[in-house]
Amino acid sequence: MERLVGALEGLGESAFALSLLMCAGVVLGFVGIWPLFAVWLERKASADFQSRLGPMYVGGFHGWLQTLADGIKLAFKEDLIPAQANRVLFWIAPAVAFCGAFATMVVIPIAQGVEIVNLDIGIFFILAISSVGTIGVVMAGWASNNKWSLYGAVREAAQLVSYEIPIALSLMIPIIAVGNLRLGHIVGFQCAGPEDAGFVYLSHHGWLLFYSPWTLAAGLIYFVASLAECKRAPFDLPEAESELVSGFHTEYSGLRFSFFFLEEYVFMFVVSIVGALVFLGGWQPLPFVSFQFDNPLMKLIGAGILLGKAVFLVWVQIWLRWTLPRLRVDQVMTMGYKYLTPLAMLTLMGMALYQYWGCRYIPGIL
Amino acid sequence: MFTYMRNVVDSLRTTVKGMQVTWKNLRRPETTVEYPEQLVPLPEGYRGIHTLDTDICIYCFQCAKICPVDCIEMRAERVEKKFLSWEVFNIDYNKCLFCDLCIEVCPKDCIHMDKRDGSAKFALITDDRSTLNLDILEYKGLSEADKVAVVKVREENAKKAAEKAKAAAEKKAAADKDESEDKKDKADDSGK
Ligand code: SF4
Ligand code: SF4
Repeated sequence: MERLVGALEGLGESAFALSLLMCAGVVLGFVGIWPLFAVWLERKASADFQSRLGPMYVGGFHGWLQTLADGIKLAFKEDLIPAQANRVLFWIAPAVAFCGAFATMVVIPIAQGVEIVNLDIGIFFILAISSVGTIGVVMAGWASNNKWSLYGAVREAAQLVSYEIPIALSLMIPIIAVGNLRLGHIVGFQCAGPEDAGFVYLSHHGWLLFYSPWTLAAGLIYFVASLAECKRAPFDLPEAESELVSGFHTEYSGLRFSFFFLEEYVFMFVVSIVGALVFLGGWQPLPFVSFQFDNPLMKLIGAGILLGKAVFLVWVQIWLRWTLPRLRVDQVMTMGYKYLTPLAMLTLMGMALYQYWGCRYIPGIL
Repeated sequence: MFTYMRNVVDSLRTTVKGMQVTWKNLRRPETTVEYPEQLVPLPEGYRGIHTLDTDICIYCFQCAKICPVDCIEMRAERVEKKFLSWEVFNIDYNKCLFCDLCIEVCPKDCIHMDKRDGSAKFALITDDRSTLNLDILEYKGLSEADKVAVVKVREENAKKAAEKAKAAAEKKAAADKDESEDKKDKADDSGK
């Protein structure tokens, strides 16, 4: 725990606790506001793809308050618990699922040096913590005592466990080039330039997506696997509304249901921003030309660029959702085990050999 | 191995193709409108609420006669002994089939179910069924002179009806009086 928290550590226990609370508040605020925007974006985008208008009424400009209105409606709905449900698990399952998405936010740098915790195992932390969401979903499906929910939960468990392999392997590939798990360092690698660089300079490596053919393939694999990780179409089997009646959250209503919703959209954002940081150069606007993002104003602009990239990736996810039909269970498994995993392994090997024989410098290893 | 590689390439290719299709749809302008604020442009010949062109209607009652469910209620009155004017032209949309017969039979082509400018009314949603008995005259909007005439005729009719009722009541009262007197007489007779 270095930057933000570390600076306040010297001020004593209470200041430290206060700063922790502040960080939690910032993350919670973002996590509360982001789904409002993302759901609105999804609705508008799906409407556009279907030549409809989408929400137009609430809030005046293109129904931008529609999600808030829906959220208020959800909050006031009756909170039903099935008689045969396991009450304790049923209660805590949404919170557990939500924590998985929520906790990943702490290691994400939003601009150069602006992050809550600068963990040296950043990417590993994200991969590990995001699996906690799976436990929440399985808990929800089991506790509901409903066959559809259970099917949904089992599908979720099978799907997420199998897609965690390609997602982890595809994130290993850029790390071979960078030699560091810190997200800040990965971005730093992509905008590393000459010592005496001015405001604008030509970076040595450029975005990792274009660093080598292997990282390009890794980027694609990461994107596909991340779709499966956040249960988006065409991999939305756990909550297939037409066959499983929304799968694991069939029995959930009101505020608890909205927690699952928040989790899904926050997780979409997390995988998108990680993709933007690792493959798309973080806050660097151009692939091979870098800028100095060191003063507060530039950091603000950088944060905007990073958020823009994340929103763009979320939009591509939405685009795919409204393009592709849902896959069958066996197709999802085939895709995960027979295609993505071997391809990710091949790419990993290729990247390792490329780094070994290529003339690229690997920091920390050579 | 060959199938394997082909599957990979195929999945990429078809996904890109599908995304192109949705992209094309994204660029297409919206085909829906914000309904209550914006009216839907309706095609000619649309069967909605009737409109009556009172200027060319010749009061032939054909439309009322042909109606299979007898839902047109019409009555015309002579105004100042010179021209006929509609007093009542109601269509009960609880019954109407939208069968188009009244439109086809009209010799003057003056009753329509589509407004020719495409702004036909079609929303019949209500929570009170009695409101579905629409006054087509008011609905379409008469010319000012016609409106005055209709109001006048209605007032006169109301007056006439009131007078009639009054007369009837008086008559009845008189009859009652007579009757009671008769009874009295009879009672007197029996008493004797
Ligand atoms: S459309 Fe048919 S049912 Fe309706 S008023 Fe005309 S004739 Fe009668
Ligand atoms: S058939 Fe046509 S002209 Fe005759 S009364 Fe009806 S609307 Fe008027």
